[in-house]
Amino acid sequence: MKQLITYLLAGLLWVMPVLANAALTIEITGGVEGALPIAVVPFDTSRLSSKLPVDIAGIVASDLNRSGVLKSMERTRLPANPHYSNQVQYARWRTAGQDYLVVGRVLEKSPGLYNIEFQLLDVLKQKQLLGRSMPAKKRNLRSRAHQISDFIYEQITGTRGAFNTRIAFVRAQKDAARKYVLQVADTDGFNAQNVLESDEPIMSPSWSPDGKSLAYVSFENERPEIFIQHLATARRSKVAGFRGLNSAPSWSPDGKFLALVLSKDGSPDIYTLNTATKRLKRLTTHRSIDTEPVWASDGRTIIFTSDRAGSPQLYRIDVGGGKPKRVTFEGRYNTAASLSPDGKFIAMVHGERGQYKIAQYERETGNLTVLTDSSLDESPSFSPNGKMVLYASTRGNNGFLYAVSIDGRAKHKLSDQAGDIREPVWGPFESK
Amino acid sequence: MLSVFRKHPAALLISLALHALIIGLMVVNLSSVDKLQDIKVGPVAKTVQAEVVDQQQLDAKEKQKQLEEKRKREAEKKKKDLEAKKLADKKKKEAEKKRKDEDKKKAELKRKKEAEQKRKQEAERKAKEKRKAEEQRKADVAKAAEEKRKAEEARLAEEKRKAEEKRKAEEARIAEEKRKAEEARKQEEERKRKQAEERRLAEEEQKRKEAELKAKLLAEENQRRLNSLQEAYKLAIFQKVKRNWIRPAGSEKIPECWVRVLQGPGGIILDVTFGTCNGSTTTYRASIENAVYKAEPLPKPGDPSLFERELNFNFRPE
Repeated sequence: MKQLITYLLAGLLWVMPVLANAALTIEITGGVEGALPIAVVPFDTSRLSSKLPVDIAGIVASDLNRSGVLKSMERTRLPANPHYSNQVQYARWRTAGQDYLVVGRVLEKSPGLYNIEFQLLDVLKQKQLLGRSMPAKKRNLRSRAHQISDFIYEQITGTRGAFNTRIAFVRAQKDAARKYVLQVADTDGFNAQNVLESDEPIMSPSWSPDGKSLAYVSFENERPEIFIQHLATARRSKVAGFRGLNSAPSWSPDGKFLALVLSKDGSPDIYTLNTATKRLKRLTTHRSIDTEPVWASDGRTIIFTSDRAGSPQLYRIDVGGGKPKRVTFEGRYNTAASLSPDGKFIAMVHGERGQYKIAQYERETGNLTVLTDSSLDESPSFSPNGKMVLYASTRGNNGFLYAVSIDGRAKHKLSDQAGDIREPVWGPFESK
Repeated sequence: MLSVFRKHPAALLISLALHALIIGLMVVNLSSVDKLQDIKVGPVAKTVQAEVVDQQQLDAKEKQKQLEEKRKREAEKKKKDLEAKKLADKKKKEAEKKRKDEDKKKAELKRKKEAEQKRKQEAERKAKEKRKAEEQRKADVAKAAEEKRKAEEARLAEEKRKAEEKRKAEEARIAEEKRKAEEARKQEEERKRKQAEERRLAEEEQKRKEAELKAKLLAEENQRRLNSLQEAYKLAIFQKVKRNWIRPAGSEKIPECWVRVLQGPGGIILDVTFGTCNGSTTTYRASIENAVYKAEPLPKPGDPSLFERELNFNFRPE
């Protein structure tokens, strides 16, 4: 019956603008801009043999908050503590101003082997939107929590969540045994793991499209050389150790090439390297500095930074070669491009009056939107769903990890940050 | 020479006196010689008579004796003269010295006297001057006082004059004000009169219009009531839905989003269906749907006949 009505209505929609004058038409303009309210109730862990080392609901709430699309209710303000959908009194949550509610529990199948169950409930329609049960081990509890965030995010926004991905960055610690550490961590900054430790600087990490390897610049031989390291096996190989500069590697979307910067033929220029055949192709020949190449997702163009016109600006060049075309014109300093997955936006460092902020450039319209309000931001990197930008912001002497929503409204400092963190880069989606 | 004497008359006198004295002394000396000769004559004559025998001898002897004596006397005299002269010289010198001392004293005295005189004159002069100054000062004071008095008189006169003027001006002003006030009052009366007239006309017009409107309203009463109730109904729904609409950031560019809402009795939401909603996102549509559901139950109309099962919403961020 209801379906019938829906079909009927769907048919009526075609003529609705005409009918609008006949039927009762109400214009709703304005509205308050904000995030959709969601309450994430702490998961039930009462039946576990030992205390769970991870606060799953806390991670989920924090992830959703960071998106800027959803706003999770403060735990102290929760009106009730249900763990199953049938325990939920919707009116209470409605009165509390919540649109959505997440309830869940952790069950133990055998010691150290869990099952996480959760439900996403629509408070207003009083129905379940989503319910999942997933196995977990102690070591991947965090990852599972981020996965739950992704499910919820995708259910509500229709966009794939990128919480359960990885980020890489270089951490410098003065007093540590090894001064420079290349690390990989969760997108909330937790669970950092060392990829490479060195007494010499490490720079410019770049994720392989499959998320299994990192390319980076290491000064371990007291000059910049490019290495590729497989994360699971820690197997690594030097791919560029030419005379002069070997820097800024960037993986092609098909994973077969690296774009990189070499100065072996004079000034730093953009090259591509076939990682299998080791064949090099020089793309730029200008005597200015060309650097920071990044691939467009179609793999056919490369965006890079060049000061050929005096001030550093972004240019694009066909991977087949040709004449570079200037991309950015607004301001005197636009560098360190990161392309959104759909290729429509470029995140970059936009310098103005000695302040370096993260800006988003819309390629179609040429609109430039400054996303941050700090003064020393660097290395923007799009999340794989294109909804957030990860970057490092220098406060005092150290760089810290930050994530900002692409509308610039939600800005969050990531946690677990010691030392000086530089050049964060957001990894790809894990293959489903 | 004369000028010297004129300058020092005392010295001249002294000099003259001294000369006279010297001459006098010399005459005395000469006369005393004559006397001596006179004396000699007498006894000679006598002797001649008495001692004639030996006269010759005697005469010679005598003559010798006389010569001797005469010589003796002359020597004596000479000696005496010398002494006298010495004495006189001495005296003269002393006199001279005395005179000089005297002169000096006199000069000193004279100088002192002159100084004294001068001092006296000076004192006198000063006293005179002082007196004069005093007189002048007194005269000045008197003059100043006089002037002051005159000035005061003048000032008082001026004040009086001014006060008079002011008084006159004030009187004139008051008179003018009175005149103006009178004029204004008259104008105000006129204005009020006109205003009252205008108001009266306007009121008449208003009454006429109201009567017209009333007639019209009466004619359209039912429809109008329903219309206004429907407007109120729409407004109530609009307000309740809008109040509950939290739209996602970055949605302001979405132009419009048509939504058909099906409601049951009591304003219960039965269904929400999206129509044209170009450029929207899932989140945006969710925010709209949530707004509608949060507005449940939808407001009731003022007249049951106005209840609409179907409501068309057009959501626009701006």
